[in-house]
Amino acid sequence: MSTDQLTAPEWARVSTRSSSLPAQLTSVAAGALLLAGAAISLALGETSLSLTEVLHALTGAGDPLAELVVVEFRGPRVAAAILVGCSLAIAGAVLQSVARNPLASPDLLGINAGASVAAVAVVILAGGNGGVSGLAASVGLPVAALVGGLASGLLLYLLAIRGRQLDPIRMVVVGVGIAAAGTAIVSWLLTLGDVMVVGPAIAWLSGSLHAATWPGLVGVVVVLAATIPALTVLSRRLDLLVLGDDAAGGLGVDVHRTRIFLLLLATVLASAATAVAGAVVFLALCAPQLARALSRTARPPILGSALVGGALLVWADLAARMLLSWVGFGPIELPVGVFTAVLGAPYLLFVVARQRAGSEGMPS
Amino acid sequence: MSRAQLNGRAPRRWPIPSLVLLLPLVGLASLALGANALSLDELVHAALNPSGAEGDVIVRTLRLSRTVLGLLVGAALGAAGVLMQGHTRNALAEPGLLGVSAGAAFAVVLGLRLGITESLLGMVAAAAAGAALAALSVYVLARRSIRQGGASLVVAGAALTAFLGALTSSLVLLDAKTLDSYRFWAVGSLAERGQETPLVIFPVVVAGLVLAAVNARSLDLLALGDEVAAAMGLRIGRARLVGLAAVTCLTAAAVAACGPIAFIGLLAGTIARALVGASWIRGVLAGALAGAVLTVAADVIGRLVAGPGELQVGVVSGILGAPLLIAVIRRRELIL
Repeated sequence: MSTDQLTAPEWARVSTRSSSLPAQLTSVAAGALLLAGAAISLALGETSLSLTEVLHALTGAGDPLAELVVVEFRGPRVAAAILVGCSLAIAGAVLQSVARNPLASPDLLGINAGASVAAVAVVILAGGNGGVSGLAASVGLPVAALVGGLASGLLLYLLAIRGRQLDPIRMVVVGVGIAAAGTAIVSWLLTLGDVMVVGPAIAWLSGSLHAATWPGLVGVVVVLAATIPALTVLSRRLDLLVLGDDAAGGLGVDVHRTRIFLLLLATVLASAATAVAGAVVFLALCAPQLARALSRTARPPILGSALVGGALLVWADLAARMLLSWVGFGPIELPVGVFTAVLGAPYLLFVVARQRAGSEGMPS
Repeated sequence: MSRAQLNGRAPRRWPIPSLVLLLPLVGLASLALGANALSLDELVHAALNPSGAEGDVIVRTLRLSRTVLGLLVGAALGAAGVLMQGHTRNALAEPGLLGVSAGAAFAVVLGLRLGITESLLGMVAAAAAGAALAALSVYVLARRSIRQGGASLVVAGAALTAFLGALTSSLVLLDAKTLDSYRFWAVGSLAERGQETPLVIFPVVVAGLVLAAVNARSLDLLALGDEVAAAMGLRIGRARLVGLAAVTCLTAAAVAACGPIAFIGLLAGTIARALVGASWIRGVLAGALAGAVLTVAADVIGRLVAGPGELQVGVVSGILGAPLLIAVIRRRELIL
């Protein structure tokens, strides 16, 4: 936040250090929730296991059936939830810091739009026989999503560049434009195919983890492994960027190149995550701001956001898997995006309520 | 105030008549062009002397209602866009971008799913409820964006649109039949909407336009600032309410008839402001005319570019509108 927009008591309350006590507590609490959610998610399902059975299965000392269920079926899904949640939350945190806007996120800035267009095109074109299967589903869809996400990130960069500078306001508006155009193209694609093909396409658009496999997670793991060290190095620069271009530039940060690099990081993270799980909405929007509010920092903390995002998605996926069974509608799964969208409601109301009270969020 | 007024130049006189002249041109194009291009003779024949020939059938049953629907929906969205730009003081405001169309669409789908709205009028009523709620949220969000710069309103609107869109998708996912009819409606199309649709929404659109025209006078006063407007006798709360009602009527009619069509309001509003300057009364009129022309033109383009098939209006406007959005941001005058 710009210091001239905060009163003295507010400035004293807000810390730019993400290793302060509230930040650490948030990370610990989110991490605990994440592990709890993962454990419960591994245990519950059509074959209910107890937690000790899950533990035995993970360490290889268990019943073969339990091992099959835990390691082959639920394991990849839970791991995907954690990794995708972390990646999306980090991408959202980075974009919100770069754009200085609490509502910036890959889904709203058009990065997911390219992934959606590419993925839905693959589904519609390859699914002519009544379903997407085999090679198209396991290779074509993720690759298309990845390439599409990177392409729209590139388009965002090219259109938002002004002179040789990435202007945050322009980036935000251009992103909204790309997202809207992407929505129009996706709507058109959805009218082209047979209705049996359109269902899976919309499920992908809502975000779904049910097709997660261990090999499919390699991409996200690699991207996270490369990104987290880079962000640790850039952490101080991120703190300074939030103070405003002039302050950051005066303190020695190469504002424009840093911003461009951060946009690249966010694009790659979001695209890799979307390639695994489809277009999960709102997670990248909510998790960083939740983490920021709990940690009382000026910008969303990277670790805190990642853990909050992972925890949210693990629990959302659990609900998506089990909710309809619990209320008696049988073993139907919902796309996980339905639940992250439901998260969006209280969050949006929260944003609106905060604005009415006149309190400061992040200045745009 | 616009730069023209500040510089002392009088607003130009020809924009509105020229838009009025464009209307019959695009109307004729819409009647004539498409998969089966008709000549002027055939059009005249269909109008004056219908005898069941193929050309007559095409014009009278397919293209006439489609053209009239396009004009009505375009006028509604254009006027709504100008009105929203006036109330939010933001050059990027319009029903599609700020979530009002998404709210109307969600309400329609919810009504269909719950089985409480079957007729078109029922859909309009449901759409009005959804649009009103979304427009209220936009109004609250807009008050802050004036201080922050115009981009935050657009992002907030995008968040609202994404949220409502996700909820709408969830509703249709559970039922293949709803999904099938939904996907053709959601793309925003003038085709196959039924012969009586223009007749049904005509009174709603007219009511909305009347409200918009009345509200435009208040907008002129509001442009001077809240305090000055109040001092001149304007009841600000009532002016906002009338504006809300107008935007709700217009958006509900358009969305219930054709599904959500993005960017028409933005395009019409930008053109209107560029042509007529800062007067909101003439702005609303120009916006309605420009919206009508643009919608029918987009429909014609969609018919011509995609070979034997066609691109729906919503797709054409979505693809063409995005570059305009980006062009508008270049000028950086987001706050009106």
